[in-house]
Amino acid sequence: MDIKDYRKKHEDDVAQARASRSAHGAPEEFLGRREADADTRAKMLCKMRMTSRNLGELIPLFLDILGNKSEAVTVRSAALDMLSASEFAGKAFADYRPQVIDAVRALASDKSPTLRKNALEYLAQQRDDYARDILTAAVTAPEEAPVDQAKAIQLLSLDDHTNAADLVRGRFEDLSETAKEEAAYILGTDPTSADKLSEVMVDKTVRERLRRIAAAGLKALDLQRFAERAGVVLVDRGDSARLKAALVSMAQTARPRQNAVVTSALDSAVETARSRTRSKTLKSAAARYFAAQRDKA
Amino acid sequence: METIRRGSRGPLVARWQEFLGNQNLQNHPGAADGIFGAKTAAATREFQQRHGLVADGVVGPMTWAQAQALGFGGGGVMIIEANFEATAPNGTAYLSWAPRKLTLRLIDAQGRNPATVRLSSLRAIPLQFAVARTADGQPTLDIDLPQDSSPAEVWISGVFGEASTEDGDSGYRINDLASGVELASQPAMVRIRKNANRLADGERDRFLQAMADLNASGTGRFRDFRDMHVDAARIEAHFDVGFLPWHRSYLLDLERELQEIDPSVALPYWRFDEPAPQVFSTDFMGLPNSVGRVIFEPGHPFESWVTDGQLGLVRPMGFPPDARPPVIISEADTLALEPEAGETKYRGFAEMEGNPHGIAHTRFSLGSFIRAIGTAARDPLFFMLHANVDRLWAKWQWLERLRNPDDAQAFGTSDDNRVGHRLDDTMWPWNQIVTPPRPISAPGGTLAPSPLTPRPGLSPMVRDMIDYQGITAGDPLGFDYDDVPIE
Amino acid sequence: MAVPARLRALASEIDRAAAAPDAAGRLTGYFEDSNAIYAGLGSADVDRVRSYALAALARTAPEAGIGAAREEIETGYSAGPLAAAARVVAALERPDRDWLDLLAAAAARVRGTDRKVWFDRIDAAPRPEIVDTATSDLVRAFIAVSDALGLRPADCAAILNNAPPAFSAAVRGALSETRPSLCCCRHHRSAPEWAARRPLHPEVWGTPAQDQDWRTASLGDRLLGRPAVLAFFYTRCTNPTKCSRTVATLAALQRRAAAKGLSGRIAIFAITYDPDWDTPARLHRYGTDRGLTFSAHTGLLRITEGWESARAAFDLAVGYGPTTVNRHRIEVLMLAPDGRIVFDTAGRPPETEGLLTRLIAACTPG
Repeated sequence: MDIKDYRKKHEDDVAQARASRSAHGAPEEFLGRREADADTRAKMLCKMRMTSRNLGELIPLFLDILGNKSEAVTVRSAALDMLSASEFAGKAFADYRPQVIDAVRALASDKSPTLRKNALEYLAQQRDDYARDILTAAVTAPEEAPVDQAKAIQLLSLDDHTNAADLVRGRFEDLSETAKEEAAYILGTDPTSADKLSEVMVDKTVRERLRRIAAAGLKALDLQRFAERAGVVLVDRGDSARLKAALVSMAQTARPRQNAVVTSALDSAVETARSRTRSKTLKSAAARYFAAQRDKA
Repeated sequence: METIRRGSRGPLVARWQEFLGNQNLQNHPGAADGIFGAKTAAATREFQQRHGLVADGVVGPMTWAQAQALGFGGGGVMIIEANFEATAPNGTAYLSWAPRKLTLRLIDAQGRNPATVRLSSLRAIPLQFAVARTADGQPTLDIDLPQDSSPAEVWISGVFGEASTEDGDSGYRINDLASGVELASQPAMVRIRKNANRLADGERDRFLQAMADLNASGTGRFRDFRDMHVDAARIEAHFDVGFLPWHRSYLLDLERELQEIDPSVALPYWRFDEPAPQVFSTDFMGLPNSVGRVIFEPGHPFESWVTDGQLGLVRPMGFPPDARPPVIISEADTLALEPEAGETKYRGFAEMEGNPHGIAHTRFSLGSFIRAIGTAARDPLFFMLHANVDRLWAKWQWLERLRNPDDAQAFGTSDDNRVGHRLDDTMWPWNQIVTPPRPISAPGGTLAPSPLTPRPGLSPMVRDMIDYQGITAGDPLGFDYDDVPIE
Repeated sequence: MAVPARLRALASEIDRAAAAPDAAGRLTGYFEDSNAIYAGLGSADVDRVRSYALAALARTAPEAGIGAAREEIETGYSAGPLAAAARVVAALERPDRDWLDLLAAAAARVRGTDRKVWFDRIDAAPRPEIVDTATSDLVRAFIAVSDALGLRPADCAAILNNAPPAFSAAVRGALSETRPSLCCCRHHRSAPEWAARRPLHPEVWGTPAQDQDWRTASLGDRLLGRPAVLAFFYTRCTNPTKCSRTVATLAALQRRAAAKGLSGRIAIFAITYDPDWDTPARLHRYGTDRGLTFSAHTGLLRITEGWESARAAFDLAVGYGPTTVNRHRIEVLMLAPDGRIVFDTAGRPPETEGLLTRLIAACTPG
């Protein structure tokens, strides 16, 4: 490659970019186009040039739009998007955070389901008390909830110091499949749930993805127990090769630090699974597993 | 020829040991291991005694002359010594576009004068060679080695545009020009940070496995990288001119840890102004389900990815996985960013912290880890996002020729004169300073060292991250991008 | 929207306690981390109840809240508890000058988590009429302390220069340039005054404890027979001023002690509050990442059998939610070779040099 030509190409591209840069991005432009349709206005908002220097002008504008109940949902949603992006643009955001949180809390009871969901997602990530109260109620009384139960469980799980594990533990069997998966992610942070995860991992009546999540959760909670349960699945001729391959891959990055007996039992189970299967996926997972054990030795 | 004696080491000693082994001596020199020890000395003394020489165990001109008369070096093959500064402990050399130094010394000319050797590429991925530190190397290089065994330098680098895909798919060989005999060879890898959307399956899988190993279900060293990028530390790394150098150091630290696990791994970048369907697939960074939970193929190393004590990733996408994310400004527009009056060029470019950087973070829907500064580092995609941010900076530095930290335009001034954002400041956490105004704890210790380069040191300053290719002075930091040359 | 019923009930109890003549006595129980009222609550909910109670103390008997306020302002990150603590400080009649540095540092910490605050109800539904934030409460407290001490902006310049610009500007704007001379009355010491810990029951030394390398030995084997520093922590602690800093301080202490020739003559250990989660692998990673070098006399421990008894024996200030700790105080002790507690940081962050001085004294004969 000729570096000089390469440089010239880039220089030309940059010159062209400078020449064609439109004046888009100024708040005045947005404010002057109130008659445009909602989609157009939402797009204009998203294209606003946001820098560390103009945050003080833009954030109040976004807050205004967010709080304007007569504004279209797409435009208000775009304003929330831009508010969330403004956190990255400069340190001035921190001075507005209380107002932003307040404005988004108000959105959590908006009549638009989209805005309610967006608000709860934003607030949950900010570990907001109000969002947590709403989401807790959503798990216990899903019919009235502003987001579905699975999403509520997921949003609660963003903070491992909440009471989310309590909420899902008792009602696990009654949850939808997707909600069960989200619940399994939470149970992976709860040492008292190792039994439950262990049970789900080997239960062939349970959907395979849920079994994989349970296995990964058990691996994080109790490595020894994971190794023992994985061994049970691996030597079960009637169990899924795909699941076995997934367990072998998980075991590859596991490092049981104490019990050489369990480690060698797991090696033996992996070898058994490998020798009995015709699945290429499982065979190659086993090959990688043994190669990694050799590298670590 | 060089005089050798007890304590000497090297290929010439090995040849001497081999020769003695064929002399039917009572004292066998032992294995031809290149180490002149007691056995070799005893055998040497016996040889000298047998041939009426001073039996002092030192192989000098008289002993060499006797040996040559008996056919020593009769094969006519030169002996050379080659030390390449980019060779890792595993025996492979790791290169990028920045030239690295190979030091050659002639040990035994075998009558060759001039003792000319030819350097050329060993394998499919080519290297280039030069006698000076330059970006304009040649595919082969012939060099005369000084007869007095003084060192000669050769500078070797990858060829821009031709990166390795596997460990050892590159390398160099050194041949005796006259006879064509190979004197030495060195496997190598031209290890380059690449566009994640264009990785070969093997490259992708090695990167994923190394990351998963570093994470080790939440018990591995990855935790430190997550803990460095938390709300409490945000002003160390954001909203000021130190944003780019800090993140460059952060990525370098992570990449070196990955290379401790698998030296063939380089951090790929997510080119966020283009569609990246290979990246957003269940084989790579995963795809979200209906509630935004990231799903991977069964057996994917990230199935047991744990951060903050929790399994899994949340990343609902705000755009189709095979589409260009909206609103992010293009590479050309980013490189075209200009300063306002009174600002340095760097300061103008650093506005990219808002768009494209901040906008890239927020192209994923609310609730994604990557959407908030305090949780973004939980998502491995974050590191690929920042690798692209760093690549854009590297490309801008190349285009603008601003690699020298002492060039005022290459950096800027912190508005608040904030510590950690001035050229000669060390950077948290690698400086391990935990007194105000720095944060209260400094996870992870000092910056990971590299076996290939002494830079930037355990506690780098902001200025150390600017000249990453070592153009103005010193060694490179040890990485390069597939589309940013050295010039 | 629904506030969990339990929080509403606790808030009502706090309101009743605050209205009683002996409010101070009735409210102090809310600042014991191990109080059964907090069992099973998540961390954020514990914070809500504590800050509600602390704000009630600020209104009724602020002097009784000094300890809890100090702990919060020194190490807290959350807006609610910091604001409530600031209100206690603002209400003190004779505050110590120490508070100024702490308030400014707290203002820097809370910047990323600030929000509107109110303490007349525990409900978190939005209230547009409220304008107070944690920052504004901290500003108010700073001004109140400066006023009480007769300070001008120039007297606090060094502190304000390191504080967030918005905080500094607000303080400078409010403090007058001319002041009466400094009051020489006695000022409230700001160190927390927790009840002294009970002496340790000898049975505790028989408790088996597993270290980061899976080795099990009794607590007595590890800690008795030499001066020891013992801390409590857990790896899931989300407050970097607490557990992370404590373990990093132990690592620094280890290095300083080695430089003074004390290696092998002292013990430095930390025990996890969260033994089921903090497996040896997690302990190992946590300590290594904070610079701790493990040995027979330095390590991170978990007690899997007999943890409840050990907790009670050490009188630990920790509460538990459904899966992990919900709140705890910083707990760092120094033990004599016979196991007596001879020093307790009493909720304050440990200081390397202070601990080192005590260890040297303990190792010096006579």
